[in-house]
Amino acid sequence: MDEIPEVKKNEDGAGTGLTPVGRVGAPRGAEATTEGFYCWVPEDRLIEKTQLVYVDSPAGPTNVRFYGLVSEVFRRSRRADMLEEADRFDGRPEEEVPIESRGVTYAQVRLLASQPNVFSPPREESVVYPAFEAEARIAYGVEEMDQPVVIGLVRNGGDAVAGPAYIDLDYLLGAMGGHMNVTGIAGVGTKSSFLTIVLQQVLRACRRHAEEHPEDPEKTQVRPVILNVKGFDLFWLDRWSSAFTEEDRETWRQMGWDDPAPLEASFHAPQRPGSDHLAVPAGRDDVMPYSWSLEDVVRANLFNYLFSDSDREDDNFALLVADIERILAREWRQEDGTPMRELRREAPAKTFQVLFDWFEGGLRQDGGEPAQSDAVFARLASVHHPGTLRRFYRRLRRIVYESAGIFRLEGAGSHPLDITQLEPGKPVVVDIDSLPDRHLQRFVVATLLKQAVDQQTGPGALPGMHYLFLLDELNRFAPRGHSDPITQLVETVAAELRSRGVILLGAQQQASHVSPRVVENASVRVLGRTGGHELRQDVFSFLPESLRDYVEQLGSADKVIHQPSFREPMHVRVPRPPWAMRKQEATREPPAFLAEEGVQPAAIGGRRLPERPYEELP
Amino acid sequence: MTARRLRQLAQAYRVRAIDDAPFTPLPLADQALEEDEAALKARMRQLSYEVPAGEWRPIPCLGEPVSQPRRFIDGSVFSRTVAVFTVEGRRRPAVLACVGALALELDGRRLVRSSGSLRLETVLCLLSNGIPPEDLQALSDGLEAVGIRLVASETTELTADFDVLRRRCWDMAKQRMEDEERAVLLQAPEVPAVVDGLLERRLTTVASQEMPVIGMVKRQMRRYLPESHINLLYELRPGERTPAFLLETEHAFIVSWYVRLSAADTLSPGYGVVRLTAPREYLERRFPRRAERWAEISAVSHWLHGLRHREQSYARAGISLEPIVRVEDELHALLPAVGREAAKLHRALGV
Repeated sequence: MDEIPEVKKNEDGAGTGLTPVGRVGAPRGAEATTEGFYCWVPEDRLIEKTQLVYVDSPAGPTNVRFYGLVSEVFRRSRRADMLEEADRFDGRPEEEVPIESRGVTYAQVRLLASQPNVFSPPREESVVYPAFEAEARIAYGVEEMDQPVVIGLVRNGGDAVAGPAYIDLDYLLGAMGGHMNVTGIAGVGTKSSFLTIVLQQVLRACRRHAEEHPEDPEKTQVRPVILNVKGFDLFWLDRWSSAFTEEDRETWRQMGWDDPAPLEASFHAPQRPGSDHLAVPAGRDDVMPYSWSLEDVVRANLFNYLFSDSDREDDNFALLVADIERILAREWRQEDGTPMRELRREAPAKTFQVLFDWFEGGLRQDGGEPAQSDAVFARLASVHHPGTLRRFYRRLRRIVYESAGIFRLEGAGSHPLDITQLEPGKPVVVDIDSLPDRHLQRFVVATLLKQAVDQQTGPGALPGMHYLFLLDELNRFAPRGHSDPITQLVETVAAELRSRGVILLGAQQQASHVSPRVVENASVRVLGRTGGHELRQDVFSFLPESLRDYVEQLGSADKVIHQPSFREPMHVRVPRPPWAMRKQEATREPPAFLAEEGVQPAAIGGRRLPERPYEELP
Repeated sequence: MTARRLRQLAQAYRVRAIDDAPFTPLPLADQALEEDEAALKARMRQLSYEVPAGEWRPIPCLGEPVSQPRRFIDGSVFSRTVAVFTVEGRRRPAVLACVGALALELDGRRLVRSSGSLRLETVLCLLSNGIPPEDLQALSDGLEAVGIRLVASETTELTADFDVLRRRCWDMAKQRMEDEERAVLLQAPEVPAVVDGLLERRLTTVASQEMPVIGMVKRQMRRYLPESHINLLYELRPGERTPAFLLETEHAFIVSWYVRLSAADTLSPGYGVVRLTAPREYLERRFPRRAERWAEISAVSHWLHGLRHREQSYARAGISLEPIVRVEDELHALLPAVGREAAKLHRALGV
């Protein structure tokens, strides 16, 4: 994982040169506790909210070093009320008073860690010192992390930073916890940008580990799946961002990456209706199409996912779906126990079109001696109400006809996505935003999750393999209060499958609109700028009250990150990624300052050809 | 050894631990006598020192002082009656006091504490009549080991009245505080200073009469002006003063005058009036020409008026100076809690 670089240790503050920032005060009403303490600050020193500090203090017979985070800074004058403030100047701002006010600046500090680990507060009058990178590593337990990964820089006041900010992959990839959940309002929250940075850092860490430990049979491997849910914004991750600056590069350097570059990714979008091998227009030529035929759906056991929550709540409908699935599919197990499915040879339909024709015929009931398939339909009709049969026919036809190409009426020309065959370490971006129906979007997500779940839980599970799903707008795919199969699948991933290596990097604007099982099971919780009403929901109970106003005003470069091993959330400054997060900023050419250093333009993927003779190509 | 000897003494004198007020408050009339005990010896010497008595008028305070006061000095004493000794069959009170004095110096607009400008101590005050010197010495040594200084003195009128005796003990503590104030004042004798309280109790030597010091008396327990001139006090407006007059005290002559720092319609006409004093020796040597002397008195008064405390939440805002209040605040933060010191004493005595 990321090596913790050698850093210059600060001088021991106690008596050897570091300028103190204040002293602990513990008067009545502002007592020091095991959660935190207050310290006053002299007039000529600066202390800032989000600054890190430490204090050496006796706790019983032991000398302890306490590490803390400034959660608020106060200023109090000596006056009892605003009237006295005005009286001091006789109500005239231009009046001068011979003696300065000599109020007091004091800070509220929340404890992050102590060495040795004691659950006791620091003592009043203990000297408080500013903390830097070395102390930040101790405060956030970096030394105890088995697999630390840098995801930004630790914020240390207004503009200053205290070195790289680490999270522990053991809390992300399943060893001690799993999943990441990011909340942030549209635009300023920069959720997707952050998730791609985390993903890239995880991939880099895995690559480095593999290079250093090629003999490790269970080295961590990652198959990342990025779901595009907004325009084709994420279809430019392999291009440079025109907004990437030298300052951004410097931040990446501080994070330990000297030559940040765009991602290497492949791109998939819904198949274009009427085409056998082109995807819908995405603004680039190297996008792979995806689609499913009836045979693909049956083989992958996705038939149930075609129907919506409201349909499935109807017992009659659900039973009919199950019966039809039995008619179409044959199941068996291989020698290794892997369950297999395929279309029955004798199935009444091999394609969606034939299935519709069969249903039409059956519903018409022309009479005469039925063929075998008609007998099959007759058996169905004898068990299910005609209304249910018609409803099924209408639903399925609508789903397929309105699928904008991802369900092939005829069997030929389908390109089912199979993420289990992807090259590890290379992200695949799958567009679902261009699908016209939210139900279809959920179908695609469920399909991909199911592939990962099936492989990771089956006999073919690969040691060390992890599937990372990067999914924004979780409120659409696992909405609170819903129980459809797709929501249940996402909940299952979140609640039960982190130990099997299926990991969700999810995001939403409002976590209170997402299934609690999904949000609460994320070990790493990240907050970008979030509205005040949302922050008061129970789902944010981990956030101290004193930080709520701060989170409401976060800038786009700032995040608050909570991991189970942190006593308090970590304030992180996140750089702009070098890759483009939307088409408008995408460019092949690197920024000028990088081009001067010889950095090459981004590579272009292979062009997918249309269905016409080559001579007619432009 | 010292600790054991202390406990032996406590047994010998049948010391009993108590926790009571330092002294019983006296009726107001008696208070006047008690508070200004030393001032009883002060008397009006010359009403016409600045202006003939018949021409007294309020004088507006203006100008910049030549010797602008930069040090502000105050002392504090927190005390309790903590023990009863039995000496020659009679009860004898012991008063424990945490005393201190502090000077803050004005540096630009900042009040700063300089090295040596703080003096703190804890004292046990005991009337020593009938206690052998060797016992007093042992008691002193034992108390010193726990950070308490023994202040023992004989009284000429030993009474069986416990409350009178403890009042005398408290006076010893107050005297100790004044000694500390004097020591702080003498730490920088050339720097013009303001001292809270009776100047004549702080400047008791001939040499000290030449120091540039202004005393400020907030509570007027004694009137020096004749009946005919008292109304003038009530006619003063904020920032105005009376003409200066001369007082003769036990140790020296002091120049005094009244200044009104503030006024309030809903309060008595005497509210906001303070009495300022300065050593005659200093004023007349430094400002031999009368016009300059009166100008300096006006300018200092104007300067101090500008330093008046303006926050009504402070109980004595109308007659206080902000720097002196700051000294009080800092001193109170520095002095140890008398209760904690009493507990330490009781443990040492084994009572």
